[in-house]
Amino acid sequence: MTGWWRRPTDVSLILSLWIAVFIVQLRAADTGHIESPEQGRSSQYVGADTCKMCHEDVFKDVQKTPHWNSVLKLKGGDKAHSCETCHGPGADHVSAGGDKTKIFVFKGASAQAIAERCLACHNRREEIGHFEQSAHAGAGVSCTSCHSPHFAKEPHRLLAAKQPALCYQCHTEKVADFNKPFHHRVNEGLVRCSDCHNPHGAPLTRSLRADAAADAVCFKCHRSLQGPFVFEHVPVKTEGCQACHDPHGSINPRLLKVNQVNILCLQCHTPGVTPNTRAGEVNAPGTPNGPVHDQSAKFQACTMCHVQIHGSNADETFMK
Amino acid sequence: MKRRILAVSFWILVLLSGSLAQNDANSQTSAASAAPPEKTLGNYVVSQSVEFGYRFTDVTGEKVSPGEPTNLSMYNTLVNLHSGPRLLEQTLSLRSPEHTGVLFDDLYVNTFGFGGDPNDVARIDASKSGIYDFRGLFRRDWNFFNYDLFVNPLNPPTSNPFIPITFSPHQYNSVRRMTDLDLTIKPDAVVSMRLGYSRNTSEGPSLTTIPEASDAELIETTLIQRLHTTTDNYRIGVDFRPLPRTTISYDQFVVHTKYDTAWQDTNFAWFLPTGVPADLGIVWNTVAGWPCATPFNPGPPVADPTCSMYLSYQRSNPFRANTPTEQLAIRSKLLPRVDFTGRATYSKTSMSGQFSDFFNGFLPDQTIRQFITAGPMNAERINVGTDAGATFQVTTRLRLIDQFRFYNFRIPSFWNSTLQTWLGASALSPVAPKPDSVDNTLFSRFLGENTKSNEVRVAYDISRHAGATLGYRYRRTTYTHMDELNDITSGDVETGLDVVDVHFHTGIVGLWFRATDRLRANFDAELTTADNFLTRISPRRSYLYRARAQYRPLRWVTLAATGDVYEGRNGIQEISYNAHNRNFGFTATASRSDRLGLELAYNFNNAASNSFVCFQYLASVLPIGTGICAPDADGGAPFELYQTYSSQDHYGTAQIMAKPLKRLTTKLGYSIVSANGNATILNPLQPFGTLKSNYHRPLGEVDLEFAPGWTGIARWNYYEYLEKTPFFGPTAPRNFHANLTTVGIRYAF
Repeated sequence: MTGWWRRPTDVSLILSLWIAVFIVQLRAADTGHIESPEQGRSSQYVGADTCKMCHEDVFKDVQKTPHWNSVLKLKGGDKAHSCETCHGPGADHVSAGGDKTKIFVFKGASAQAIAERCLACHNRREEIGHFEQSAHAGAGVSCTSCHSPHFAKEPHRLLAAKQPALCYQCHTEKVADFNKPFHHRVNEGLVRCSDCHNPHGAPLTRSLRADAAADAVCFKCHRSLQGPFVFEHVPVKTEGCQACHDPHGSINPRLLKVNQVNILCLQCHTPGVTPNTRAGEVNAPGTPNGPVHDQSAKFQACTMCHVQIHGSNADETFMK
Repeated sequence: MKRRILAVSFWILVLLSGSLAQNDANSQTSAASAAPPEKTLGNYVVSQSVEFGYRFTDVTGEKVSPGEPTNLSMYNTLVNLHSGPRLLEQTLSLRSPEHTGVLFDDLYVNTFGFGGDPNDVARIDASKSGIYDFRGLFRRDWNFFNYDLFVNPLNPPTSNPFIPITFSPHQYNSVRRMTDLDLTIKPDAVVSMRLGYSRNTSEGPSLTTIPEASDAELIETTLIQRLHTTTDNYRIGVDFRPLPRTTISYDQFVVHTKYDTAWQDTNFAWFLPTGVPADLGIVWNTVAGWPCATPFNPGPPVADPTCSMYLSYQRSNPFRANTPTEQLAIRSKLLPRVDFTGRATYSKTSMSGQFSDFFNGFLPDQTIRQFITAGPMNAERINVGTDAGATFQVTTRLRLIDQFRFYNFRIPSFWNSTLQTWLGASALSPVAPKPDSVDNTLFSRFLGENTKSNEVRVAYDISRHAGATLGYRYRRTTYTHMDELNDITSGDVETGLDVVDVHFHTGIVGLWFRATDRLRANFDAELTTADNFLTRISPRRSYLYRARAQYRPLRWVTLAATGDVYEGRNGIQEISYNAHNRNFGFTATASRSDRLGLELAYNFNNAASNSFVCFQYLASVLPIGTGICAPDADGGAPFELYQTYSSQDHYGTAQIMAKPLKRLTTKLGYSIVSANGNATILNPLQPFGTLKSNYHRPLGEVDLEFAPGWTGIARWNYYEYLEKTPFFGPTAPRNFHANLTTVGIRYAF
């Protein structure tokens, strides 16, 4: 049998996973929601004025933020319970004399619990839509690891610190990358980490963004290299820019992975018996077999002649 | 003696006093740029500050040769900060505490770099609660690049004449301006709308190169490349929330790009016997016959008319690309225990334009006197993509996460080329009215990729303090490449079709640990195998390990460490590709109060990229380890070598900020990037350049608030780039030292 269902391919695997997921969902539907602390206890809300009596400094800080309008002010409607929208009903907390165990405290809570609280409102924007599947969520990084609703240092998005310092707190290796002689201008304030990565997660690995047409995020700035071209340099579109470049920073010019362009080119453009070889050729299919130029006296950069290496409209060897 | 005491006192003062800030002179904030004081003005609480200054730049370094001006190219490539008055930073914040502003409740404006710095940014955020949310961003960046080793022909001293190239033939001096405007109307309503516009223009002069003739009598020259690319991006979208916790979004994007870059040869340094200016190019190796064995007859500057040369060259390739994109997305937490997100996009880019280039000169190997290439071309890029992700909360501790992605693009393209060629015996031969040959060729290409991937992970919270993830990602990618050449003139037709199918299997493991709020760590690993590959350096086995830890022993002390290891392999014998990037680092910050702060960081990066390569080599002495390559149908690359590249880079920084007096803030810091690499060198004239170099950047800063709201700023930055090997080859030395002194005034009101 050669039907698609007999092949160990994506379709069957994906279908079975989604069916499994559907079954789980049905089970969940049968048993109802996971109980959140405040459900069924709406009478235990005490109101913001009560909170303010002990937490006036926090109240004043929240007043400066967009949360003031959505949860503190009555514009939020019946569901807006001020501080208790996020922290849960406070009656037990108040009656216990401020017992922290009687209310939801973000400090010390699990990342999952924090995300659940925040995403109850913040799942609307597509920017945040992938958080629960993100690498950050998987690593136990919660919303409050980066955002500080009460004491934000950066008013924009209530960040705990400005970029890139905020990202450097964990991604310390990037500090070095962006200090290398050739680097993207992140420290200079021109580019932000979040211009290329979505810290809330994205379908691509490393939470990389893509442009609207699902092309590499690099082309947002490096537009002239996007094409489409009549003659595409195939790896640019299939392997991505990082096949040849270190995107954060490099000791090599043009953020190249190696110091000599000809070495970089020869790594692919070298004869060798490989699978999928087109009849009569001894290289990966369609790959030119390698330079016939003298490497002892010729230029150290193949791109001296093959200048339009990202793609050309007039030359299949990228010379024009 | 008095000066020494003063100097020592100054540094003691600096050490005792200052905030941690960014390291570069073009960082936009000074050490004392704390939040400006707030004032109430009508409905608003207002705070603003402005920081003006003047920068003095003094660059010294090794000169190309005695008597010539200092080589600024490397400084401009790496730093590019020059003397002059600058708007160092400006901020304005208006906030309506009761959210009762008329036009806006919050307004934030921040600008820096204006006045001539390479990075200028202006940012404006405005919002009226519940009514609109507006973000505006303007960025201008000046790109200067003249690392003279890049694409240098490395002209040998044995050439007659010997003309070293002391600049990069691919240098840039361009400016990119990017504007992004985004407006969200009624962001919290059931139906909200998004409007956006972005513009990206890149323009300015740069150099590029063009070769003509064969390897035997090659000529290669530089062309002035007048970059001009403009992209307009229009966006409109609507979010609809028909159900609780569910948002459906529809977006329409239209991107229009104009490419108007033009190229021209302006490099006429020599003359024909008739006095006509001639360009013999930048590649001088008369022993190899480039541009010919005897370029001058009877002598310079009179060019031999039978030598390869340009008398005129210009090229234009204006084209337009339009990309409409539609996107439908859904995000929902409606179903119990399920978080779902999905998106589908469709886009089609249509590119069309004209290509033409004109050459007049002489190419002796084919006795070409003139040629014109012209013709229309077009290409499309059709992309269909979907992605879906769901998190299923099986129990309070157990989650099942699934992510699916489908990505399919295809690029069909076409070029109708007409080549007219005129022949001649030398550059002095007259050009006939009609060409000697006309060749019409149709080129067709097709590139396509079809990718489906699914990742499933099981995440389990062992406790509030620890969790683990186990997952598997499957990806199948099919690449299709087709080429067809139809020579209308000769009737020859060549076609080729390549299809590569690759199955990737990835195992995913993750652990996180949070003992207390002060200590957290996580580890994750991805192990991938592939049954095929597209390029030789596409690894068939790759391993990625990442570990991070952060510890706060005291409220004001933060320690962090990371280890990030990537290993890539393609074990096929003829390739033996072996690459790694191993990175280890730590940071320590201590800031007990806003009066004293310390920051330390160290990072070690070890990168390597090795594989067998085959190449042509005509020198009598082969590089050590050279063998014989597998037979090549073209016979062009007979030698084989296991090429190696490795770099060991150390980065270290230390900064101290102190505030000995309430009105005095000081900062002192130092950072270094020390690169120690090695690589296979095929051309013996090739220097290592930045691969063996030190880049030092000490800094100091004193800020004194001499009156309420007024702060005087004195900032010193030093940049020193030194290559560790004295061999520069036939290139200009790149070492430089630069002192930058900035004095300015910050007024917060």
